[in-house]
Amino acid sequence: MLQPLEELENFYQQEEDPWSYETTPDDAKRRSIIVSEIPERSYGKVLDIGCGHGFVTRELPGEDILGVDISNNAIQQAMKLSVHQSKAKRLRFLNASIFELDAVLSETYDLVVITGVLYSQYIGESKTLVRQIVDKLLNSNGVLVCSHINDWYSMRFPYLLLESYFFEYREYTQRLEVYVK
Amino acid sequence: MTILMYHKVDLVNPTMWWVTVDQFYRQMRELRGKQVVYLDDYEPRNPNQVVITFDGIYKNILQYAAPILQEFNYPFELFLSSDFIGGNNEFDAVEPLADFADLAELKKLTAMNGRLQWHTRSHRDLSNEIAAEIEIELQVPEEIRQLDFSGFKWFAYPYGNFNSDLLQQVKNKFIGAVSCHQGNDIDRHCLNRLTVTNDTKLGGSTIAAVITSYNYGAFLTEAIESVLRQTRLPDEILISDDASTDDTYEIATLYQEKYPDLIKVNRNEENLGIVNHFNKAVKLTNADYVAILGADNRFRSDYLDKTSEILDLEPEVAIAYTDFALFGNRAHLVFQDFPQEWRGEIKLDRFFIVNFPNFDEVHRQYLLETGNFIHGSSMFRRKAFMEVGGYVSKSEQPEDYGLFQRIVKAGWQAKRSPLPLLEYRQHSKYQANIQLTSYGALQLYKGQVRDYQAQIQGYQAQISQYGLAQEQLQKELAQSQTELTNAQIERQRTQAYVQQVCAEFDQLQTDSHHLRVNLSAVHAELHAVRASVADSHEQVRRKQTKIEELRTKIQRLRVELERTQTRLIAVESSKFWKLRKAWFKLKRLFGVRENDAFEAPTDSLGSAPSQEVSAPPQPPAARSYNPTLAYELWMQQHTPTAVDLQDMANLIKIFAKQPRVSVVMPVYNPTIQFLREAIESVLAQVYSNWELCIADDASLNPLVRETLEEYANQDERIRVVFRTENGHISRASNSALEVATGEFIALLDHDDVLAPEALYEMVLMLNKHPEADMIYSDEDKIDAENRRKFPFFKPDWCPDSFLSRMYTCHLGFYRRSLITEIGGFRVGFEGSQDYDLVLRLTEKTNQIFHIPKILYHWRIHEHSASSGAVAKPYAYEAGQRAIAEALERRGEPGQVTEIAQHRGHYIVRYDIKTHDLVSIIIPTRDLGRFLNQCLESIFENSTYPNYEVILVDNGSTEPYTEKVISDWLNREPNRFRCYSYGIPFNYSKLNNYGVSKASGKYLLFLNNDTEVIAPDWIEAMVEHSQRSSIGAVGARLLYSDNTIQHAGVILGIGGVGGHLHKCLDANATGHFDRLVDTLNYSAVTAACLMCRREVFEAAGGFNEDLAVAFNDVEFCLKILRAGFRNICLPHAKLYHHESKSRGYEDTPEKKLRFNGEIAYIRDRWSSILDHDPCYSPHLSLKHEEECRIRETEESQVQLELTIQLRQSKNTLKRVRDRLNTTQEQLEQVQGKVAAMETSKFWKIRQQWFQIKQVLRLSSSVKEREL
Repeated sequence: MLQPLEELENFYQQEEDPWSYETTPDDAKRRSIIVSEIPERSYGKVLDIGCGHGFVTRELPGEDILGVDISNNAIQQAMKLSVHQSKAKRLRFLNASIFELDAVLSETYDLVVITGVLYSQYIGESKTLVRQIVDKLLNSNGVLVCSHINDWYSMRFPYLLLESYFFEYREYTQRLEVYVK
Repeated sequence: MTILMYHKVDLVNPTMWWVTVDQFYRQMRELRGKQVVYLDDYEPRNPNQVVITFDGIYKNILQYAAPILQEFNYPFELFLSSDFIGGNNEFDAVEPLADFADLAELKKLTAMNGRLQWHTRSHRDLSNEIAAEIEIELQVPEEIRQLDFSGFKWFAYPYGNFNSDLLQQVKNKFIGAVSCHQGNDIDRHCLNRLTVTNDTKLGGSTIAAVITSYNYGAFLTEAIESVLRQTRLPDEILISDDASTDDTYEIATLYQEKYPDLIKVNRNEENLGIVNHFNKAVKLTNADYVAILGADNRFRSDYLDKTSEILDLEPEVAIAYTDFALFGNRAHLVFQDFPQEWRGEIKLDRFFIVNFPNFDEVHRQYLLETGNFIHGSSMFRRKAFMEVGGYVSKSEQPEDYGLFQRIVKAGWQAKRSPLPLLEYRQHSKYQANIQLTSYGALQLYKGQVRDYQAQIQGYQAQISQYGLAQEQLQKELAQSQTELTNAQIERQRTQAYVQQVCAEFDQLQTDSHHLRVNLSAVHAELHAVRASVADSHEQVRRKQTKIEELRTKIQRLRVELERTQTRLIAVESSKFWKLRKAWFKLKRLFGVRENDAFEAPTDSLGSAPSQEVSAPPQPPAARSYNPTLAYELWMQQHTPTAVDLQDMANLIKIFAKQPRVSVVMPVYNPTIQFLREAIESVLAQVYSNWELCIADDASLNPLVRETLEEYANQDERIRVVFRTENGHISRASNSALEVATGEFIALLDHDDVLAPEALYEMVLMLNKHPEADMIYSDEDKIDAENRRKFPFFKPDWCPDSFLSRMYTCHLGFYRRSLITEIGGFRVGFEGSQDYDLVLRLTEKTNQIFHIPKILYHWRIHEHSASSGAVAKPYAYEAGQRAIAEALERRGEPGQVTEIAQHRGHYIVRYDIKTHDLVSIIIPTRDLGRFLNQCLESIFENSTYPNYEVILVDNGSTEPYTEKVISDWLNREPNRFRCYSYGIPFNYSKLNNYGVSKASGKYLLFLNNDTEVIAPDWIEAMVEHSQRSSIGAVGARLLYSDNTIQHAGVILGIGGVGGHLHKCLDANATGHFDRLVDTLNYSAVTAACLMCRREVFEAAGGFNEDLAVAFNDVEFCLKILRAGFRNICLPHAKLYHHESKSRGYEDTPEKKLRFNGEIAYIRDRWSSILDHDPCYSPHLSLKHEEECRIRETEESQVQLELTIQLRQSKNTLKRVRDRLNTTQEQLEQVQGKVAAMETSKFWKIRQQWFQIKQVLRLSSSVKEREL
């Protein structure tokens, strides 16, 4: 079943970092792996879908980085945290569901990052639509980076798969996929 | 043809009215081959048309369904209920909450090819409404109509319900209307719709993805994952392993376990190579389309979607091919090999995209003539594949190119999807991306581990749940266990008891089975005897009736004879007869000569009737023994009748063992008639599982071969080997053995005859004793006229007797494996080859059994060995050698001598290993003269160098005896000792006492009234006594008159045991020459008995409970029981000066004691006493002097009847003779009378009477005249 939005909002209401990303070494490792696996090249517009409070977003390359999340509380938190960042001026955050993105965003992106989002508790059975939406947002030759707990994730985007990489994460295994469109 | 009805499309489907985005996408994709139209364009009868409708209209249609409909570019209909625009469905309490689209959203939908239609204002069920209300509900408000000017021409009945009024009103306002199920598929104003749910399948094509791997296990998980994560999942996945030696199959089966409905696994046991492997793999799938993925490559996730789309949309296309992206460490090299115009984009220096040409006419020709541009993973239609026969092996062309060429040649089209959908790995085989791939595999295995862990956790939870209950249970358990332990002890005890009972029961059953078998046989015999007795009775009765008849007849004849005689006398005494005599005298006087033949009657006119004839038959005089008659009687009782044989045949059916028996028959120049009889006797066997193995030893007579072939053709059980050269009997017998296949061998000579029950009896014995390795039977002789005589009733197996003569002989029945083991018959022992065989065979086994029945008839005729020792002299020399070699083999060396005048009988004199001390123990009391004679003969005659004499004096009182003793003490101070033992006479105690005083290894018990004849008597006894198998050794004892006193004890004679052939002349040879042989006896007399001290001790000495009689017999039986054999030597000869008339039972109290001792010994030893194994049960126990055939109760009756019958026959014969004589006499007399009556004289006599009458008449007339 879908997790109601209120529940998510409550998480972020009660905890600034509800999943303890900031303090867990496995998450630091996760972030550094994700960032290091992004192919080296220059990225203009960058989109982080389901950015939460911006734990990964902050470290992404790119000239114009947009983090979106369905939770308004998360976005508020992300904005608060990014103020102190050196590249704060490149970071923007927006409160929106993934299914709204093709409607609310008119731009396309060189790099799209999706981490810990494409689980059925968030997207139900709508992989087809997610693919369609992401495809609308991603530039040709753009790079898509997905990192998810392998057991809960069963998507595959219709792009050439540059990298399919597994790493240990907490009690799970993360599957990191890097596509090029 | 189909109008689809949706309500809500969303991320999840809480009820059936919701369809998830992914399933909606799937359903849309399944319509890809169809024509999706607006209702305006809908032709109900067109099977290819589909209309998509939504009722509501919910917001989620815009959000989730519309983008997908747009992707497929499908038009769709939106049935709007206007009251709910911008609201939600809270009126519908059952359904989860969902928002309806607002006007703006509805407008957006119309911009996305949605067309608005009417679904009433309030969504009330109009089938129950009045026309006015309906009118309002059907009215589309103007502001709504503004939303879509092309729409609102169609109406949807709320809940699908309508009636005719409603229908009519709807018809007035709309060009068409839709229902759900109340309507039909044709009528435009009540068309039914299909309610689509999450699971609804709308047909469409099916896809098979075939992943082939030959040792690509390292990449396999990547390939499988790329298939499993396709945006359009295949309908079936086949992972096909072409006999990989890596973990391909393991990985494949793990995936199959995870997706059992989707994944199939094929493993070729042998590597088939690409063509055969691919063809097989394709045939293992069923879907419409097939795409084959090499396990080292990956499908981009929209591969199947895009390729199947082509095939869905274009039925003339059979092959959907794509561009591909090369990757891997050799990708850039390979990329350079492609033509410039095909080389496409390079993505991030990692993917090298190859853009293949479109399938236009130019490239169609290119494909057919120049080269291939359709990669092997391209999707093809199964139909086309099958049409062209799949892959074909061609050396000059890759298999996929060939396939595509042939498909195109067959008229199919191909089409390119201009996307790099195949990720085509370029790698040197040994540079696989090990880290990535093995990590992929690791995930798979880890998943498996987690599954198991979850299970374990589940179990652990259960276990802890059970924990509490368990504690409580454990308490109860402890208590129960105590009870259980007690119960188990009890049970074990019971089980042991039950087992014991079972074992006893089993034994009883086995015994009872044997007993039943035996009983049946005995019954059958008894039946035969009774029948025979009854038959004899009947015969006697008939004969007597006949005798009576004849007597009556004789009586009648005699009366007639007397009458005739009377008449004759009357005639003779008549005046006329006298006159006749006078006349003859007169004639002589007057010299008259007559020519008439006239014989004077004789005087012998029969004698007086014999007294004997009329006398009743006399009872038989005291019978004397007639061996021929006795054997005839025996045969009558013991020869099975046809009924008996039938009974046997029936009995065989219950035999557990029915082994094949090979009857082995060497043949050489037989008399053809006898040969036939021999073979016929095998054919007549009651037991049928036999084979007859004949070896003809190159017989000279061609008839032999003819005869044998005739039989071989007649019965397949008969097999004949024709030897090419004569090799004599051993070789011939071995030739026959070679073709034998039976478990047992029976030997048959070529002119002898088997009793029909012979093999039956052998097999019967085998069923009683499955351990038997050799069985032999009794036998008799049969002459050329087939008369049976000379029955040889044999003892059971007596190994020492067998060294004196070949007595087991016929019928011999041997386990074939043993014969094979000893190598069959030996050349060089011809004539005694069977003797030699049994000697060797019995060294391998002691499972030797005897059937005391005559089962073999040994032919005696002029050429046979059995007719006399002269027939084959070489045979006996061979026998001698056979024994000599046996002695050597057995480590008991000695000399073998043939006994003079008794060919085939031998005496073995063993070498004495050491001349150990012999203690001669003589109990004595008085009778000094005998004692002296005894001692004298010992000390004077004995040649044995090392003996002592122990005299046990049981209270001698005679001075002479004392003198004898003291004299001998003086004469033989070293070798003679005397001990006084003054107890009441007890022979056992005296001897046991003597033993206690003796120091010899050998103990020789001797009576004081014996006298040594043979000087080497001690040597002879030591020779045997030294042998570890031998217990008691007895001697030949003679009465003073040189008749036999003891030649061995036969058990059962006189109740306990007696001396056979007693009182026969010392030179007599006895029954079947047994007196010349060295034979095993069950017992020998202790009047002269030697045994080793250890044997004495093993037997426990003499039984002191038996003071006088039979203590020696009992001693011998104890020796037998201890496992030794006893033997009696004919050449260890002594006198035993015992009175022939002496008896133990000469006073009443002695008689009483004697009977007491009989009872005592019978009580303990009855079974062996009733059947002396060293004697035959068919030989009598009543007669010591000769071996008679034993008479049973039946046989006595039989004997009497037979004698009566014979007497009756004799009487009858005599009566008949007499009758004949009488008849002859009568005829003679009658003849004479007739002759007289016809004679001239008689006629003259008549004339004379007439004259007399005339004269008398005339004289009377004269008188009257006077």
